[in-house]
Amino acid sequence: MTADTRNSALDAATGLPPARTPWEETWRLLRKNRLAFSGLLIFVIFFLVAVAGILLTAGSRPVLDPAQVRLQEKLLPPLSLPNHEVLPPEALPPLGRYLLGTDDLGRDVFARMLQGAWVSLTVGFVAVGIAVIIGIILGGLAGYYGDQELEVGHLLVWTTGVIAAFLLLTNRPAGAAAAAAASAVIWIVMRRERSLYEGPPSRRRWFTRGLVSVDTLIMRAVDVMLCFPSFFLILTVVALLPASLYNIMVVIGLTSWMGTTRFVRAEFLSLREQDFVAAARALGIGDMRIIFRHIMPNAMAPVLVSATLGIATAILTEAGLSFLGFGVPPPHATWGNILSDGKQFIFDAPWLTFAPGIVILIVVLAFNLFGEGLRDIMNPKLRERN
Amino acid sequence: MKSEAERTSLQGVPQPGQNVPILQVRDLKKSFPVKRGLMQRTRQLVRAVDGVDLDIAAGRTLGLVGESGCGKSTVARMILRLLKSDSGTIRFEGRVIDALSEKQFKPLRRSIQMIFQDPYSSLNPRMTVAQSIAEGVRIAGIAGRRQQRERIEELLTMVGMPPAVADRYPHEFSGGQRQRVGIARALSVAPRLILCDEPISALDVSIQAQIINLLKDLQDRLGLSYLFISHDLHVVSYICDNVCVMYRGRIVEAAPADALFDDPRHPYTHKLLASAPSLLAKAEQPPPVEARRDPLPPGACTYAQQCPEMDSACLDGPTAMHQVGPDHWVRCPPAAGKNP
Amino acid sequence: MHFHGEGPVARAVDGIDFQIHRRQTVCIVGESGCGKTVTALAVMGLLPMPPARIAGGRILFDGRSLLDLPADQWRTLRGRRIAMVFQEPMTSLNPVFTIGDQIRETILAHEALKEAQARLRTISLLNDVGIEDPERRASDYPHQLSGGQRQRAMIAMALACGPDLIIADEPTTALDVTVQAQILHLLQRLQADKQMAIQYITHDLSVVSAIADRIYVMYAGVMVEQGNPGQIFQQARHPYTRALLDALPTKEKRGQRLATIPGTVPHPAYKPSGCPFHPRCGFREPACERDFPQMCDYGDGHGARCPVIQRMGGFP
Ligand SMILES: Nc1ncnc2c1ncn2[C@@H]1O[C@H](COP(=O)(O)OP(=O)(O)O)[C@@H](O)[C@H]1O
Ligand SMILES: Nc1ncnc2c1ncn2[C@@H]1O[C@H](COP(=O)(O)OP(=O)(O)O)[C@@H](O)[C@H]1O
Ligand code: SF4
Ligand SMILES: [Mg+2]
Ligand SMILES: [Mg+2]
Repeated sequence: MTADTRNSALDAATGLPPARTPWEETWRLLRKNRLAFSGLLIFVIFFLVAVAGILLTAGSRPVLDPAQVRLQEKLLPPLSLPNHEVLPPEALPPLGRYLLGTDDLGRDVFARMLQGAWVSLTVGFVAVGIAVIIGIILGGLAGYYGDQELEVGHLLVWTTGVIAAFLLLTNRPAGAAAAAAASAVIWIVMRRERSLYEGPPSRRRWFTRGLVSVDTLIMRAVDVMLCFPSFFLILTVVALLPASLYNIMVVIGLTSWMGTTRFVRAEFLSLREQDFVAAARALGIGDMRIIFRHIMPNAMAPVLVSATLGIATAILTEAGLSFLGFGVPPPHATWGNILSDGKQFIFDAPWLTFAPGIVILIVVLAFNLFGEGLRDIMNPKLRERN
Repeated sequence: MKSEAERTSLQGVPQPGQNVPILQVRDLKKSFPVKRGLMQRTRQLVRAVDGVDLDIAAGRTLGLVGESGCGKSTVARMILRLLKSDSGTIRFEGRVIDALSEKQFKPLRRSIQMIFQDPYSSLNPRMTVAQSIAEGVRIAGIAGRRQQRERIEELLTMVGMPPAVADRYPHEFSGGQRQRVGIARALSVAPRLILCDEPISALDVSIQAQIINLLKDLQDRLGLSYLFISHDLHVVSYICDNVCVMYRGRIVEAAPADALFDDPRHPYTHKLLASAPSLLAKAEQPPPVEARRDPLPPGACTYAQQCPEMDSACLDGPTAMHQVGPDHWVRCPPAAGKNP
Repeated sequence: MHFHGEGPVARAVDGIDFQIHRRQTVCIVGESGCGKTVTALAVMGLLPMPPARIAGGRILFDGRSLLDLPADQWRTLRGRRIAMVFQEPMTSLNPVFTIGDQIRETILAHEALKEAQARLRTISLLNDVGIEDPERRASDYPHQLSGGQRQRAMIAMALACGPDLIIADEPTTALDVTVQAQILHLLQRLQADKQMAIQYITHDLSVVSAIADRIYVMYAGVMVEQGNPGQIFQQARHPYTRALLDALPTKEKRGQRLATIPGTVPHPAYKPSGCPFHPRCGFREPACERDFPQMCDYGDGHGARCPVIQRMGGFP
């Protein structure tokens, strides 16, 4: 009854109800889903805070210096005022107060939290970005080209190729050239063989004999990866590598692509059989365009959902690593190492534990709510009507 | 213009003349492996298409009728090379196309298009109508945004949709409207043969009539040839010039539509005709024939187990097509022996 | 029956009356989106409310008003005395249970029977609906059956407690003509055997001719014509009924153009004023755009909501 008047008139030219693009529709449903929408709001706030944090805490003379040590002012509770007498003027907190108190070295916890926000944000996004890219490529390959047999020759060509690259990187050009030549020779032999023995696969020879299907290979790799308890895998790898933010992001990314791969494969398998893909093939559209223009956009919904949930997991993983001391090296602050430093003073200075703890809880919860909400919204069954 | 250039490049190919059918299919076969069990080892083969012959004259409509699962879509997909045939030949305008490599086939690809049964899965839900049709328009060699847009609107008008719908998404349309968009997409590459795979089975009767009329109008205007697939003999005999009745992967009767309607010969054709409800009388259904369970000898008539007319000739050796009238063939010894 | 959601109210079913007598087959015919399924679900009490809301009217079953019944009594009625068969048997059967289990479940939910008795009853039901070898088939999962067999299993489930009324919502629309003929035949036989009433919903008038005792033609949530098959097929008095009949491809029309109904069924939220059919009607007059037409009586239970045709005394 109180319907928007713009909404209630039929479009004169088409005789259809007013136009709504899929994105507008998603946005409309998102606004109706209160939990997911508040998740999104928190996410936006977190994003702004993290960006503001990196602007305020980076540089040689940051506005808020997370590394400023004030031994006179250690373990002050939140909102306490700095002591103007003992501090040199450049060490005074620019906000006039220690919003979240200070730690055992008298560093401003608020500044450290801001710096940590950026770490969490980048770890979340970069790690998930890596995982999603791997997941889309492998899942897409398994789903679209899954029936194709991988031949013995393929494997040999690739192994020698990888060896060549490795030798080149370790500065052994002679060995690299030899490996590359071997790779090329096998490739040529494969082509010869294939043209000679056109016919049923049983008549193929050695190099072109089918070994496993692409699908089997990729999905077994997923199974193997899933067998490792991934947190301990990450711990092991991180213990071997020099500690740095980039290594952490890459390692988390490389150990969390399996879920996306499975989703993408499943979507590709069902989308590939749809008539619109057959129609595209009938028009003579190339494989790459079919994959990226016709199938991929339809497979993005579950990827988006799992990516959102993945960010929450990555943030938690990074906090866990930092807590255990395997994360970003000090003095750089992350939520995990603030938490870890604070645990010794949990009775004397509980804000050192609560500040990062509660923030991690809220951010992770927000991502999870948003992800779950997206899943509901993108479920076609719930969208049909309305 | 493009198609002129293309035609001159196909030298040495018999030109489409009066007598060369636009599509000729001979002894087309396809089996699918049935995968069972944990190891997914192939146990059996299903003979989905088992030696099909078809001829479509240029500018005409051939109907292909049969119950679901008899292999109709598989035939269409093989003609379009979405599936590889096991054996048999497919000639398009006199040229054998199933032996061509994908590259050699590419220029011909646009000449054959398909319209699908399910209006819900045949359009990409994430593309607007204009984007879907533009895929074909681009393939047809029309460059430039303005020209493409003009062509899209022309195609939409041709299929009876207001051009203003171009920027809408498929979910906003009814089944019949989606089917029109699907037809516009097929037309975008200016094909000469369109395979219509049950294009109206999923639509309401009133909308079916609209689509049938549209297909006939387009045929008159553009000189298209159709392979029209359906399970409803009434619809087929209304639209088609010739009809093939298919049963379990084989053509069991082929005839001009009038002859098939007035003088159906194969017992299966009789059954199809009797099943279609008619407006005039409360249909008296013949009692179903008790299916005989004994296994058939190889090559026997595949309908023998359900057939009320079965005799020993049906089980002896491979049943061949018998001519029973001008262009009227039937794969049934008892039916061929009888006189009308 | 109105849908309240965002935007305008969708008046999906808007003031219809129909009656079904015992042992009668009543057909409801109309294009997709006319409100046929909503009507059926309303009778079953299966509409999700909200968004659905019954804005007025009564549903009487055996003289009892269903809308006033408490939810649990309605639930017992449903299944035991009224049962429904849906269009798409694959989605209305549970894929992880065998059809035998599902039928037995229905029986046990409504009757105090022993397992073994229920099992026997299941087998005999499957036999009734013409499934060969019912003992073995009972342990098949839905995906192992063909479309026609699945629909037979659905009918067996609907029959499980010997209902007085079966509502069949487009049960053959997804099936081949040959299978459709078998299912129609089956329904007729079962009706004679079990003395049930059938409400048969379809968009195809030619199907109706085979089974109907009485036909209601529905358009945009309104009954536009009602009568027995002879009246509807030979003396249709509503342009919509007439258009549906003309649209059927038949042998006689070979070579002619099929008559079509231009346009589509209006979305229930955007219904035109006056006669709901007027934007698509070839006989409309200025008054049609203004006044909602009354049901014009042609005697003997035949009525149509079109004053224009009544004044013209039939179609020219
Ligand atoms: N990709 C496939 N894999 C295995 N079996 C298939 C495949 N496509 C079709 N079939 C089988 O081939 C037979 C014919 O199918 P189809 O051509 O789709 O029939 P129709 O179009 O006449 O309904 C069916 O029995 C079907 O199960
Ligand atoms: N839950 C719902 N919410 C909103 N609209 C609905 C709902 N269910 C049905 N409708 C609308 O009611 C109309 C009638 O639907 P339906 O009864 O399914 O038609 P039919 O069965 O005749 O094809 C349709 O236009 C549909 O959009
Ligand atoms: S009332 Fe008018 S518009 Fe409605 S059906 Fe009759 S003539 Fe047509
Ligand atoms: Mg098919
Ligand atoms: Mg319905």
